[in-house]
Amino acid sequence: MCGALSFNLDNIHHYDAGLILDKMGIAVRTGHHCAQPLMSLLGVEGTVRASFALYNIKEDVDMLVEGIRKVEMIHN
Amino acid sequence: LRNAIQDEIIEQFAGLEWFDRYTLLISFGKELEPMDDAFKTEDNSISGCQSRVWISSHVEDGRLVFDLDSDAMIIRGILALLLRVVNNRPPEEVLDTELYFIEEIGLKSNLSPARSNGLEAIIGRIREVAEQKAGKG
Repeated sequence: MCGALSFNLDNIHHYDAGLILDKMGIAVRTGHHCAQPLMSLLGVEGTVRASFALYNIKEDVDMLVEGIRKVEMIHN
Repeated sequence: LRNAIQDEIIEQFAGLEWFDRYTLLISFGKELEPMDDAFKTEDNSISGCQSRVWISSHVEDGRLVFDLDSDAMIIRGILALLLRVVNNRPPEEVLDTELYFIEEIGLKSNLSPARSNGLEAIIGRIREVAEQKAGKG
């Protein structure tokens, strides 16, 4: 089972999304994750990546969803 | 040494919660004039794995005119603030300006080289240009 979710939000740079999520205490990785050939193939500069592990609970997922809503709110 | 424009920026951010601080920063970023793609060359870019920044400059009537841009909106906001402080000034004045507002409005975390390509690298490049031009002045 894969727990890494790589995504981008419409018209929002991954760095901007990552900074806001960080402010909310949500740890994600942003950038090209040292996978430049794949990023250039996908035609993106980078992505936001959330990685779930054994210690994550459903509330963490809810927090991420809420964080993403906040990122969109702050940008629009 | 206090600087009126930096004090004005600090005043604008004073008392704001982080959410409002970033909203304001992003609104400044949206207002920043985009750089012409022709100037977004490798020579003008400071690239990191987080975001890209471009910086170009020229001298006009003894004043340094900067053109700054980034693909990330929060960085664009910071660049817009930097321009308010250093743009269109004699190179000597740019060199004499201590940029204290960044820390005072709580953007110091953006200075870390791991986060973005380092605001420090951008400021370093601005000072480098100012030093070159001041020498020729």
